[in-house]
Amino acid sequence: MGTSTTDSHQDYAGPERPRKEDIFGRASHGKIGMWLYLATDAMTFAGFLLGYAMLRARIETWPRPSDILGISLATIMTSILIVSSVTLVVAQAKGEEKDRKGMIKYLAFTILGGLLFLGLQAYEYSHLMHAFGMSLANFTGGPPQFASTFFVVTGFHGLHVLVGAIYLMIILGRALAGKYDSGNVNEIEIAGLFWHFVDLVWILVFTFMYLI
Amino acid sequence: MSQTMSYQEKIKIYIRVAVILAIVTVVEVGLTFIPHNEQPMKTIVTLLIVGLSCSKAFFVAYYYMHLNHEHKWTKIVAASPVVILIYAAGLISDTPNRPVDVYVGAPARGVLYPDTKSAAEAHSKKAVEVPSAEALDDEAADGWE
Repeated sequence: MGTSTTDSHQDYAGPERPRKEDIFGRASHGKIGMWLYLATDAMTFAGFLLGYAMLRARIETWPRPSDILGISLATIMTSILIVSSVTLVVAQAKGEEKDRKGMIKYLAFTILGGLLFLGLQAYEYSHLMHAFGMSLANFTGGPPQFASTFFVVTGFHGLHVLVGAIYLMIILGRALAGKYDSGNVNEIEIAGLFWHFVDLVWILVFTFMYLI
Repeated sequence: MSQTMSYQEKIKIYIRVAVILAIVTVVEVGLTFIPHNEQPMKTIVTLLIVGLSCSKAFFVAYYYMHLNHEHKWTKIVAASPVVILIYAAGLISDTPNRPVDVYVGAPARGVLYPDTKSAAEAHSKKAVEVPSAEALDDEAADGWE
């Protein structure tokens, strides 16, 4: 410990401090905290999807999702989230290389991807509401549970995208302020965990609610 | 994230994973165009799509969330939501024992109703249906005879 550790602390942005090696390796407190949070969040999504599966299995008149929902639009939305995950890991890699300009550029691309996703989701909701009278309680094309589960699951995910975009905007602000110029991108990595999780969940939502 | 990998190596992996994700997505969407209204194709196509989707989720967690560089306990925390599968298995296996009325408003599988509303009415009537006193008397009388 001693002086050398104190010096290495100064390289760290924010309240994060290097930890001693333990069962989580040298992962920062923030990173462990984010993983624990994501585990609980994943269980929430799993509960939603399980509820959806149970309802769908019991209801004879459940329509084929592809007859109601736009698969091509959802595929574009999936691609946008995957690309935004790529731009975020590239931003992180640029930050580690102390390439400030590149890091900021790719962070901005990621946020743009998130906002684009939200815009397309709003368009999709608007279309479904007009074309099929879909709301949380109504649906003209079949059992109302189809609409309820669709809006609850995709809406909850959309809320995550919105929070993720705001989170990344804060990170971008800190990047612009030069907080990550030292090459310590721990905060970007933690925000990235959340963003990639949102991408991961969408991959499953896309499969269960749109494709099968 | 490992500091031992060069920038070029990292980017190469990220791009490679993105290409894999894109290809798998195209395959998944392509599979939905295969006619699968009847068994066994329905089960086969569904399982294939779910399997491919889980592999995509794994790729994102392993490479983009850097689980490949994490220690054992972080991996265990990340995998912990899988326990919900045990709950799901229990719930699904118990489903045939549940009364249909818990899903009021929805016609149950195997029971044909012209529309959702009539199904709900039928279920609610069924739930509170009590045999009349006369019917009970007749039944009792039948029993004694």
